[in-house]
Amino acid sequence: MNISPDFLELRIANPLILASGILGTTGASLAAAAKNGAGAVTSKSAWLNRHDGHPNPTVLDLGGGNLLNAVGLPHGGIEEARTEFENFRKLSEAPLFASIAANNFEEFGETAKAVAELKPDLIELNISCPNVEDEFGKPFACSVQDATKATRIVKKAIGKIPLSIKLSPNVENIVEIARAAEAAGADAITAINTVGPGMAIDIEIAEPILANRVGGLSGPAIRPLAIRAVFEIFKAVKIPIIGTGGISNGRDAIEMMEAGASLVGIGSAAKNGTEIFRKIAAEIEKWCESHGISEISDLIGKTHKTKIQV
Amino acid sequence: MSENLPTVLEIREIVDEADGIKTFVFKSEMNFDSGQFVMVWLPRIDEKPFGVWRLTKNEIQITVSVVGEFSKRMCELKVGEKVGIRGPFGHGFTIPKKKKIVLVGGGCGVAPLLSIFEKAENCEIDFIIGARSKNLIFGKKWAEKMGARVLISTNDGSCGEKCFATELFEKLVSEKPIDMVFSCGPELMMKRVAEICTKKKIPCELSLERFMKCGIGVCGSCAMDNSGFCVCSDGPVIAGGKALKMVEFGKYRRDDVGVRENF
Repeated sequence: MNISPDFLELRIANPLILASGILGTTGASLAAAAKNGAGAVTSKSAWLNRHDGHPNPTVLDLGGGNLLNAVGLPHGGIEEARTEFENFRKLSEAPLFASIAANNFEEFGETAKAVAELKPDLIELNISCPNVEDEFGKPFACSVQDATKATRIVKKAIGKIPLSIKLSPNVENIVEIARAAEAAGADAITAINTVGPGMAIDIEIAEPILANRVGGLSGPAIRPLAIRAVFEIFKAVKIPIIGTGGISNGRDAIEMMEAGASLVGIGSAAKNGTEIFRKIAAEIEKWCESHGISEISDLIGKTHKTKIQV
Repeated sequence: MSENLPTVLEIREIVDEADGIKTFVFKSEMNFDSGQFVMVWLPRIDEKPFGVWRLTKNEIQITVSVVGEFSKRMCELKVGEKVGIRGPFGHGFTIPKKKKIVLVGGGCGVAPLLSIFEKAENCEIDFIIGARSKNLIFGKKWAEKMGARVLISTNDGSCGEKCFATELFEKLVSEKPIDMVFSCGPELMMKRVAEICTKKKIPCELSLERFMKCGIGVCGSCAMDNSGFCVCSDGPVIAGGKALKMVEFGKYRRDDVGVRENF
């Protein structure tokens, strides 16, 4: 069967994408994820200049595959991105999605332009990280106006490179933000970023464990929120969706595609090694074959076409 | 699949090992493999990885050398104060039985090697300890107490031989048959150990150090070029031959935001 999905005319071997923020600092670890079966990989959000993250503890294992993190978008700046992207291209032929972050509209434009020169296959605009709120206030993905403006500026700066806007689930109506991004020129939507922020407290010393005190929740616990967000966004926009949030096996990935995702992001599930990509891809293929599905793209948004006869 | 959050433990004892090197003793029955590490959390300050070792069943030892802000703060703590311990993490050493083994430790890198004794049943152990100077030697008394023959090297000759630990090691391997080597310490020292072992065809394992955050192989801070080997989850222990194939081994590491720093 064909498990290469239709997505913005990009050649992607399978619908599984390494989500941003996971193992994405170095070109070599991105290449390792691709080698282990990721259809495409997303680099950790790039900044124009060096950006320090939070002190440790930054990532907590809550059990059940769920993580609470406040890494705080550390990045070495555009020259580091150049070095790592070049190394990635030497090691892998898989499509490279470049996530970008900035703290104001002007810098988003400059960062996008600089990253576009590195020729990634897609640029993902991270306007939804919940872990830098103390620094910058509410993410841009929390307002229709801000999301629109950021999308316009970045789209203008990156020429023909496709643009996906990564949305926050921590808003009243994610669908409105998705519509706004589409109207402003986005080529795709990535949904969802981590949920919350949440908190974990050490009860012996009555102290939040994360150095940032709060952090974004990821893993299987957020999957129903991600599925529902993708389901709603699919109804509202025409552009494709990269569905991310709590996907850890073939069944989950199929569920995400049936909700409306063209590509499926994997993040926290890579905790036990990126070999998970090959395993999930095999599970998807096996399921499709046993269900007589020869084109993986037939799964995209299937839930919206179901007619139940009563 | 169970949670892995810090456990807050009280410092039971503090041992002054050498200048700027202290061992902290905690009551804990944590199960860990020799060579695994823990993340030590000082609330509102930071959290850093440390090798863990053990003298008795219901205690764990963590040895800290003052190198930066975190270790400075840690070494200011007193008996009865509390820290968080998360772990153990990573993969440990492959410890043989009834073999002739050599341990090569530099500075505070001696600590994880002290965890080998508990598991190395009926082994004949030579422990080479390298330090810049006499006042910085750590681990001699523990290693001797556990039955090892200890060989000391110092850069300035103030104790033992005036040479590098790797020179003592090279001399030792030329004098006697050795079945297995374990090393932890400065990366250039470990690289030399691995090269000597490769040449002599002696299996060897090293314990690597990189900037760590998550401890579970998701954040990518400790990923090494060009294999993407995550020191926290794929390591910290690695076969010497495998380490030598990594382009950054002995050359550079990355800081907290991922910028390369040469050794």
